[in-house]
Amino acid sequence: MRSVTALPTEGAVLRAIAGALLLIFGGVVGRPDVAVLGAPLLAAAGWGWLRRPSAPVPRPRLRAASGVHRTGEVAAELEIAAAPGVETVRLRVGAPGHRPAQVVVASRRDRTLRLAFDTVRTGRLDVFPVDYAASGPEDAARTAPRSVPAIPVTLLPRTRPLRELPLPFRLQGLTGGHDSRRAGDGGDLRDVNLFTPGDRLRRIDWRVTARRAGASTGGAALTDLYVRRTFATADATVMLVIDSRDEVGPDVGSWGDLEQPRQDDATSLDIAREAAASLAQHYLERGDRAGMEDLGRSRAPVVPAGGRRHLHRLLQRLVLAVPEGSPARRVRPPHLPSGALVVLFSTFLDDEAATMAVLWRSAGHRVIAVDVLPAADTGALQPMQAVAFEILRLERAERLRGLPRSGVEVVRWESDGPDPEAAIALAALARTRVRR
Amino acid sequence: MSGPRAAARATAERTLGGAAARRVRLLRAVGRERPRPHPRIETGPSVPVGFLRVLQAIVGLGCTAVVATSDVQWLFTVLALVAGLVWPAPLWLAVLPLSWGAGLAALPLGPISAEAPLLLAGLHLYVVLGTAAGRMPPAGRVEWAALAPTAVRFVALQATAQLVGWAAGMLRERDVAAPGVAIVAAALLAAAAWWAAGHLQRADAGDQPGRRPARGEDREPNRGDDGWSYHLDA
Repeated sequence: MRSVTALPTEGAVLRAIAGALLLIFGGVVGRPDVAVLGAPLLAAAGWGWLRRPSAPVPRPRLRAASGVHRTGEVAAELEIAAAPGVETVRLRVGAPGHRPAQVVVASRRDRTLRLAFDTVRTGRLDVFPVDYAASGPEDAARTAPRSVPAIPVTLLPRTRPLRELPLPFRLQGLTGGHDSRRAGDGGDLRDVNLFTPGDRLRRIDWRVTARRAGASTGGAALTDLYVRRTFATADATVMLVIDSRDEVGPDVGSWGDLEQPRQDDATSLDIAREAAASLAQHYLERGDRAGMEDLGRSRAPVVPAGGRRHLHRLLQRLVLAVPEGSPARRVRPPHLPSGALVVLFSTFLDDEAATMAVLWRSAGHRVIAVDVLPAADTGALQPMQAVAFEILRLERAERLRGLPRSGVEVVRWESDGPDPEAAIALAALARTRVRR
Repeated sequence: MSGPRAAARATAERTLGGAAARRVRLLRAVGRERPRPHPRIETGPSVPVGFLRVLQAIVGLGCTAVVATSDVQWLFTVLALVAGLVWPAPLWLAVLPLSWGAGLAALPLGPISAEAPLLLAGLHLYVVLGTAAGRMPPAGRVEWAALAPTAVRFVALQATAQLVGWAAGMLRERDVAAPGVAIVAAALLAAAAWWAAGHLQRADAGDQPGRRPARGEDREPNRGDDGWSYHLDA
């Protein structure tokens, strides 16, 4: 731990000079009431210098706060160690998208300060860079300002409860939570059929068998056995496709690279992460398999799997999905497991995501396009910017109108508050019979 | 936008009215923008720096009311206080006390007066408040616990100084000259100047001049106007 030493402050020097001048002036003009005005200033400066920090001042330590914090709050703890002669510590604490906060705190003993800020953003952030300067009494001596590096934190997306979600056209697997069209072990009655090798004895329907035997032989002999067959159960395969090529906030003026989106405004990627995490949790809790693909990166996708650990794996990949430079234009859509339900989260600000959706649909996948563009705030736009945005908005609207014509179902996911509309729309899609 | 229309628009933007309209749009946009929040620092009970500054200005006006005999003195004080609010530099903590000392010397007061003790307390309080506020922004906060030792010292120094002032007034009333005060004060000033020059020189040179910090090591940044600064190559 590197430490720093204290030096006299400009203010202390000026106060001492002013006090001394008042003393001299009062003595020269023979006015002790004037001379005594300088006494407190001189005495305070002298006292402060004599009791200044005599030992090196240790650097404060910043660590992530322990315990569970409410959703949307990022917190850390700053440990300030007491040092001889240090009376106060001046702190400047920063946070992404926030103005720095400055405080002067007492530090005559070891103490721990909690730092926090609220955010609706997700992903990885470097938070709480701290600048500090320790002062002695009367601020007569102070250490040079030093910095404590920010700590990286990962903010996982929230998940929203969903009631019912659409399934792919074709269910796969030999077991699961959904009824398939294949005969097998399940719950719902499919038909009554002749006993064949492989059928379980407990599935023999003796009542039907007896009735049939009586009809064919006049009740004299039992020649054929009949079994009750049920629909087999199966699980669904869902591929969540994130379009991380761009990240835009509600403020259209910040869509360029010059200005960062605010921390209290969810960006398109935050909404996409939240939607994808909610869907992944819902499908995985029901025993289905979910995978993930990123249109903004050419790395290997997360292969479909199930279970709680896989949900954590998906969440980690979701928070790592950030725009990286200018991704190469894809010539063909990423290969996805056959029969999988494709859920595409995108802003649809360009043609690529929509083109991929149409290609996947034409390949036989059921495709759901989730529109994650935040509600645009155009209040601060210049006239030319407003015209450009209007053109962009019309192109996007036309693009989204064209998707249903190709068989792609479109759902909008909003970011503010509990969002029943997306859940209702998805539940409606779950009940819709779609032609394959 | 077509070529002639774009040219006309560009010409309109270059005119005085066009420039004014552009600034009006900019101001509207700035007005609509929500201020970015501050991160929370959970300290003990604290007081905003803006409150300390306002209190300091009120004390400064009170000090001026004690010694002011002309409008020029009022104008100077108000200008200095406003400048101190806008640009809180330590310079104002030295300039105004000197002006008040000069104003007190210009007053034809008797050896025992009410003005001198009042100014002694007000001047000291003005300096203490200004020191506590420092160069922090108005939204900054100062913990009460950080002010407590200063308050104790303020009371102790005031008690001593008021006692010394009263004793000096009594001596003056009995026509006892004290020329040694000027000599002692001059010696103190010389010592303070020598001390300040030496240490400010060290402060400018840094702790260890000529040593370049290694990469990743804690480095001393350049000081900005507000006393803080950032590492440019972090």
